[in-house]
Amino acid sequence: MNYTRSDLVHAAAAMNQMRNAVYHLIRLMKKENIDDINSRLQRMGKNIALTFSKYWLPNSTITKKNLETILKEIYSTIFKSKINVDVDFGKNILKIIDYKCCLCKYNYPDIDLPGCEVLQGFLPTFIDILNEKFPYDKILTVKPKEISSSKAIGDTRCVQEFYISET
Amino acid sequence: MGLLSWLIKKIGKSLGRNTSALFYTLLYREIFKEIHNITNDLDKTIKLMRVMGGEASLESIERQASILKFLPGEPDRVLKYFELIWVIVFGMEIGEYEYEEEVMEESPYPIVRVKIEKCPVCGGYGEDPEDTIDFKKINSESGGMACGFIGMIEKVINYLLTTKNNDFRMKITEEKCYAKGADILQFRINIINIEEQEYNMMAEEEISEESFVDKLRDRLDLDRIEEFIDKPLDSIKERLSNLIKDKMHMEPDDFFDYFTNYEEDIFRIIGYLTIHLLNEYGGIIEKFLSNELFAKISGYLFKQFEENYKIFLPFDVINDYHQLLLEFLENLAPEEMISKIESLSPTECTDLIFEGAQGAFEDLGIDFSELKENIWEELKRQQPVEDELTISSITQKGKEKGSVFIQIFQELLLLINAILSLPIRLILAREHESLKTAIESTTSGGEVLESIKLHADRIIEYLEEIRS
Repeated sequence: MNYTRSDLVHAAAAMNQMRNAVYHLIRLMKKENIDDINSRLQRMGKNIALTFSKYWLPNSTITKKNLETILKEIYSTIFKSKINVDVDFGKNILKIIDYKCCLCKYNYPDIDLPGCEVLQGFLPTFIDILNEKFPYDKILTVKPKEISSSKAIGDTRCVQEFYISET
Repeated sequence: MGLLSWLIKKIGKSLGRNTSALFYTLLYREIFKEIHNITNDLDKTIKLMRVMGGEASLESIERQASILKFLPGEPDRVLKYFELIWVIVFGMEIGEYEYEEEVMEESPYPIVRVKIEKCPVCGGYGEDPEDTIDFKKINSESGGMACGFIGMIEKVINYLLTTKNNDFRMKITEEKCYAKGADILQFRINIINIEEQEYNMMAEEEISEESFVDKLRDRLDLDRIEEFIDKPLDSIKERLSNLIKDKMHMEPDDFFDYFTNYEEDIFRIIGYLTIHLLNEYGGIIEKFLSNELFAKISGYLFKQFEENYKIFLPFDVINDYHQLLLEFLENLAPEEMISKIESLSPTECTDLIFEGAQGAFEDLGIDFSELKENIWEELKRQQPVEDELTISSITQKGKEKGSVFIQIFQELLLLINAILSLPIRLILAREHESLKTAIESTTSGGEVLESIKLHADRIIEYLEEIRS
C-alpha cells in the first residue's frame, strides 16, 4: 500500500537535493532562452498550493489580528521554518523574513533568480483557498511583489515581499 | 541497521533542511512538469529529470563527502547500505522493502532488484487535477516518475565507487512505478564494469585527490567497523578464512583438517607463535634473553607463572576463552576436530599453550634444562661449594644461616601468593564479567544500545525543533 498525500503532510523530507534541482531547472530554462522564468516558478508554487491545501490548511480564517500567527503556522508546518513577519498596512506591504529558507541556502554566482520565487506563487494561492474555506467579512488578500533579498544571490536571509490588502 | 549506520543516518538527516514530505513531492512533480513544458516529450523529460536529479545530488554529496566516505566501496557492500543511502538522499525512512538477486554468468555481480512498498515520489499521484502528466503513456522501457530520485541515488552510489577507485558502477532503472499502474516501486540495479558505462563521467574526473584521512577511511569504512562491532568473532573468522583462501589456496575446512588428531599441537602452536610474533616487534624478547642472567630470571618467572596461573586465574575466565575458541572454530574447522578440542579441559588447553610458549622461549635463549625446580634452589646453588670454602666453623655457620634465610623468604613469598590469590581472582573475575556483560549488551542490540539510540533520537529531535 503506497503513501497517500495525507500521510506525507506531516512527514519530513530532506530538501537538499530538491532545492538544488530547482536551481538546475532555472539553469535549464535560461539555457532554453525562456524569458518568463519568474512566472513559471510562481506557477509551480501556485500548483503546489492548490494540491497541498486539499490535505492541510490552518484551522481558522486569516485576519489582520492573527495574520502573523497563521503565517508562522503555515511556514512551520509546510517548510519547517521559523519566520519573522513584518507587515505595514499603511503601505500594504507584507514582508516574510526567513533565515532558513527551504529553497535558498547557498549563493550561486550564475543565478539571479532565487528559488523562493516559488513561494511568491504559493502563498497568495494558499491564502485565497484559506479565505474560501473560512469566509470572513474582511478578507485579507496577498499578491506577489518580489524577493528583495535571498541567500541564493548572496544575502544572509530571504525576504519575501508581498502586497497585502483588506477587502 | 547497525549502530554506526544509525548514527550516520541521524547525522545525515540533521544536516539536511527538512520540509513537509508532501511539499517535497509536489515540488518534484512541478519540476517534472516544467521540464516537460520545455521538451514536450515524456521520454526526454524522464531522461532530463534523471540527469538533473543526479546533478542535484552531486552538489550535496560534495558538501557532505566526509560522511559518505565512511560507506564501503565495493558494489555488493554498497548495496547493503541502500537503506542508508535512501535516507541520506530523501530524508525519509524507506519502509518495507526486499532484495532479489539474479545471478549473471558473465558478470561477477548479480542483477539486483529492490522492491519498495512505499514510493514517496508518487504517493497519491493522480488524485488531484494538478497531476496533469499521465505516466501510463510513458514507454515501458523509459522508467517512471521516480526517475529524478533514481538519478540522485545512482549518483551517490557511483560517487562512492569512484572515490574508492572501484572499477564497477551501478546503473539503476525503474522497472515498476506506482504512477504507471504498478503495485510496487521496483528498481533494477545492474553492476557494470566502468568501460561499459555509457553516460557522462565528467563529474568523476573532478573528484579531488585522496587525502591521508580519505585513505584511512578506506581502511575503516562503515561496513568493516560495523561488522566488527556487531559480530567481532565473525569478522575475525572471515578475515582468517579469506587469508587461508588467498595465501594457501585452500578452503579453511581443508586447512584445519590437517590438524585433525593433532588438536593438542594446535594449542602448542598458539603458544609458540604468540611468543615469536611478540618478538617480531624489534626482537626485543630475544635481545633481553641474550643476557644469561635475564634469561634465567625470565625462565624462573615463566615457570612460576605456569605453575601458579590456576591459583590466580578463575576457572570461569579460562573456560570462557575455551568456549570462545570453540565458537571461533565452528564452521571453520571439521566437526571431529571441534569435538576433540571440546573434550580437552580448559586448563589442559592452557597447559598446552604454556608448553608451546616454553618451546618459543627456548628458541629465544632460555635454557630450561639448566633451571632448578625454582628460583630458591638456584639461589642455594649460587652459594660457594664446600671444597671452595676455608674450613672454619664461622663460615660454615654463615652458610647454614644464609640457607635458612632463603627458605624463610621463599615460604614468606608463597604465603603472600596464597593470601593474594583470592583478591586477585576476585578482581580478575569481576573485570572479566564486567567486560563480558558490556560487550554482550552492546553487540546483541541489548537494552543499553536501544536506550542510547532512544535518547540520542530525542536529542536530535529537540535540536531539529530548535533549528526549525
